Amino acid sequence: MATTTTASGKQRRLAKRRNHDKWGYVFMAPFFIFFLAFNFYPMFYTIYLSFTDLAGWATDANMVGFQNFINIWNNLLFRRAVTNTFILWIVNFVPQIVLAFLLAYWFTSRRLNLKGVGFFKSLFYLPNIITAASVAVIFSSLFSYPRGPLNLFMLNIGVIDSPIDFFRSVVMTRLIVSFIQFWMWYGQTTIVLQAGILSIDENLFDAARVDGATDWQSFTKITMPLMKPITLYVLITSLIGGLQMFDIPYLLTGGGPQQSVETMITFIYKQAFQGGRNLNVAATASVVLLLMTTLFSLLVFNSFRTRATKPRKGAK
Amino acid sequence: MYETGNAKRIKMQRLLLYVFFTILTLLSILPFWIVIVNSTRSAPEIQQGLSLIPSGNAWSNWTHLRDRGFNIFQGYGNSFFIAASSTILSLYFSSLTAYALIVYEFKGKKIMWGIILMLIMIPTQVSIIGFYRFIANIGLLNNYIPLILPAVASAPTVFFMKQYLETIYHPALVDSARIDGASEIKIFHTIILPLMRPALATMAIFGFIGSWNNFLLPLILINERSMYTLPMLVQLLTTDGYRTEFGAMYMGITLSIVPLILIYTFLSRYIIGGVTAGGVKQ
Amino acid sequence: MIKKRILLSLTTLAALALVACGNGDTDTTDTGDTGDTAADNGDTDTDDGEVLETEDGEEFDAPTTGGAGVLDVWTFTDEAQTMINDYYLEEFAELDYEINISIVPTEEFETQLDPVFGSDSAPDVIFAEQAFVKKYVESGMLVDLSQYDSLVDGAEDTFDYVRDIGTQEDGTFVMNSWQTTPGAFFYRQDLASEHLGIESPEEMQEAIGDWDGFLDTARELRDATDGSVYMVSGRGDLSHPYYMSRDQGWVVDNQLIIDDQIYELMETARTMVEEGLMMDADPQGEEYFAGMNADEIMGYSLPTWGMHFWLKPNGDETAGNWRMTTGPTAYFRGGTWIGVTQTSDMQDEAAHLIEYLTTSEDFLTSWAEDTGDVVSNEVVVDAVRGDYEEEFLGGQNHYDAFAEGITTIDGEIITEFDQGIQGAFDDLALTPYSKGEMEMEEALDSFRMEVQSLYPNLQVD
Repeated sequence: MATTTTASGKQRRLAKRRNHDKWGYVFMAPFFIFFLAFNFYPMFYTIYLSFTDLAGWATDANMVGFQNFINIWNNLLFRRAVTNTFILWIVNFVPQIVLAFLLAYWFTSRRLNLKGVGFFKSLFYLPNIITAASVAVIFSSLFSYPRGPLNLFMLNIGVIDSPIDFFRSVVMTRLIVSFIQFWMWYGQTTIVLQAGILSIDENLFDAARVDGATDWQSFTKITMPLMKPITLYVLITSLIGGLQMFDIPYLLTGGGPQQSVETMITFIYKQAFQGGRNLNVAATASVVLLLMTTLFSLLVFNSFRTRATKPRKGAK
Repeated sequence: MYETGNAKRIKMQRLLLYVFFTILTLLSILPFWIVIVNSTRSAPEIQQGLSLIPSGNAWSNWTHLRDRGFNIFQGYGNSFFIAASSTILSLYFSSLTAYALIVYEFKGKKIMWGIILMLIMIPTQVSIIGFYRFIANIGLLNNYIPLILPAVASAPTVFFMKQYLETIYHPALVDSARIDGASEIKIFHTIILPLMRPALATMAIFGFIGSWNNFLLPLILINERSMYTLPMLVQLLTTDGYRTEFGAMYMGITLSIVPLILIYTFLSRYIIGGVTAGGVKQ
Repeated sequence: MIKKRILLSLTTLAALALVACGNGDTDTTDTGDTGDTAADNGDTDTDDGEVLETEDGEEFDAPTTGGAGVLDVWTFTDEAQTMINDYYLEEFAELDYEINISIVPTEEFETQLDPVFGSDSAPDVIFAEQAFVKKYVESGMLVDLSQYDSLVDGAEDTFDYVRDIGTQEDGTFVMNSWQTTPGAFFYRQDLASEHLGIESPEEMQEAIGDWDGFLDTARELRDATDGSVYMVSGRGDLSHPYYMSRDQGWVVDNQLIIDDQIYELMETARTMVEEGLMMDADPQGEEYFAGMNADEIMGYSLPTWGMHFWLKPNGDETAGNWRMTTGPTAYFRGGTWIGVTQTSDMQDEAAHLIEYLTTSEDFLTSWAEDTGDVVSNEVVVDAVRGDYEEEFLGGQNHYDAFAEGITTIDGEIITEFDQGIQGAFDDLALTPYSKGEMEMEEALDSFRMEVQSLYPNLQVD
């Protein structure tokens, strides 16, 4: 990585400096120790547990080889949870990235020269900082049956004749969960994409305009291709975040109706802390999740490298 | 530059876009507004229909909520304590780590940086089972320590700090202090930390909000009601006890979101700036 | 020098955080954060300062475990406090140890107990409710009570089903109870006279003595009132009687059993929703309780304690109009068992308490007379059942009516999986099927899937 962008190599070669370098270890030590204790160890403990039979009251774990992995492969609820997680993510992400791209395009368009961009941006981002638990409770009451605000509103203006029990419908519940994710994250995505567009060299656009390209043409021909890495970054971070979905579905319906918004993390949580308290199953599901996450991370890791080596603006 | 027809079209486009943005703005605000308004209405009023105008029942809703033992101030206190402690730890140690990564040359530095980058991408949720067992084994369930101390090793903050320090650091800053005989840690405290103030401020906001909003970890580690954090208290509002006390329930939600909305009103510029600069994800 | 200073500042920071944490939970007792040694050293770190709250905002003390010399009792019912303080400690005033009672609300009981159960931080005596009693009975971490001869002798007169539930599958007797909890059908006599011409509990029993009669009566009621009065509040009034009329429990030999009665239950519930015979209110929800004071619901299926804790407080305006009868099937619901943990260092003292509370005829007689609770001792029940008049039931002798149902109860069908399985069944099978959202097999499949997932070692099909 580009740690040497500013420090010149010559100075670093000074013998005197060498003496100071041991301080690197000292200063890194707290991070490293706490990383080992609170990240590294729990992760390997989780992996270890996935090879044991630790469940219920048992205090001793016996090794059972890959049995848990075979079981989880055959666990229909886990499969459903994986499918649900992806469905919920896709239904949220596709409209999110489309809207974010459009907004970023409009916000940066010199031809439109819109006023109040900062104001709108901060409002679109607002839902993101609100506690997800509160957001879940807000939506569960807004959509509640039979006399929640939304039902009352639709009844009063005559759109429906009888109240809708949203959370007894698989489709509705999934849509609501996806909508909440969309609503909480499109502002963030817009800002990231806008920052990406603004970092593109202005001369490229000027040259295109001289050649008679329309705004839309330069957007599709110049902006879009140059935005590929950042889009990939957004996609994968969103996917990794989406795999961790818990607060919203858990607090909205607890995974129901008919297990339709049971996600991987709600599955893990329930396995470990409810029913037979199957820590081994929960650990195995965690390892599967870890593998998926690592795979996606490796993808983003590469896009990170290309991104991070570019000159960046500091935070203001 | 443009012909008049074109100018008209642009005007039209602008108008349509403003309308569209206004709709999105309403979408961002309305859910919160409805909740806040409902927190001022009585249960029968709420049952009658949607309203956007506050009514006069806020106080009685508040007393109902309080009488049910919904101790929001305890929740604020608990969440604030956890969020503030973990933010301070994470800011200090992340800056220190970032400083080490930039200023010194030592073996294993590349590996550490690689670990930090991986850590950013791998969320803690994947190891909650091991984490829970580990904490249970050392007897720290129902304790705030496991919610605070892990902040010392906060990879995203280190990443952000390093990115920032790279843009402002110059060896000359440090060398002159060294010649004056200042110790390395003193240099960090007196020269580097003050320089990093803008980055510290940004990450303080994100760190604080992130910890404040955390739900899963306290949920599995904390059982005792008096130690509940705000999101855990909010979760109780969905239980049977509030099925008829709608006003009190909305009051509970309102109290949980108003501090954040206030913070956001004052700090949104920095928050948006932080997102723009770092692509930070909470 | 420098190193020291850095270390110092690091440790100060860490220490600050720790101290601060300490402040955050100064009053926390040793449910989780004492090492294993504190209790062994006899170092009493009981702290009564901690006050917790239930979801309804009721405050309760955090469960505590004292050291040696303190008998720790964890319960979820304040009856335990009355029984121990007003009866046991009156009888045995000379005990050379303290009894420390922690009352944890039912819904938090398992989450508080499970992490410490089986460790030295566990209490000496635990109370457990029917929904989860088998979990602790089968845990293998409770003391075998059959080593205490006088307790075993006293338990001879305990109703069989009560003892069966407190007995492990391998026959080890580990928990006993002071009460029985037969259920009944509570109905509104005023509504029954007005709409059905039924004038007494006997006539009602004749009409609803089996499920066909029950449904026919419900239809008659609907027709007579144009659907404005429902027979029952919802599926909750059907499921408990049906569960208890099964031949087999949810799990037999590690195999999930879907008894014929379960299919019957699903059909009955669906019929009643489709034909508008029940209100379809969620059990213990808003409408469920509201119905006790209104004229929209004919009756509820409730056990002994349901009358005291749910019906009476929510039915103040309808008091005196209620009557009870067995209903389509005899059943029981709930109940509290008491056991001793193997980690206890005061097992004999704990057993002594249990012997008194569950087998002492003197105690059980006074308890029955003072509270009207239906006790677990057959001899006592037979002696007292004659002399009760319950005003809420218009003077009916509820004790006698309840006592009638006890002998038909089968405790064998309670399993350690009931809480999880019944939760899943209600959520995934009974509710969607009764509302017509899913077909029978589809609903049962997702139920099986959930059970398999909750209890991977069970065979579900």
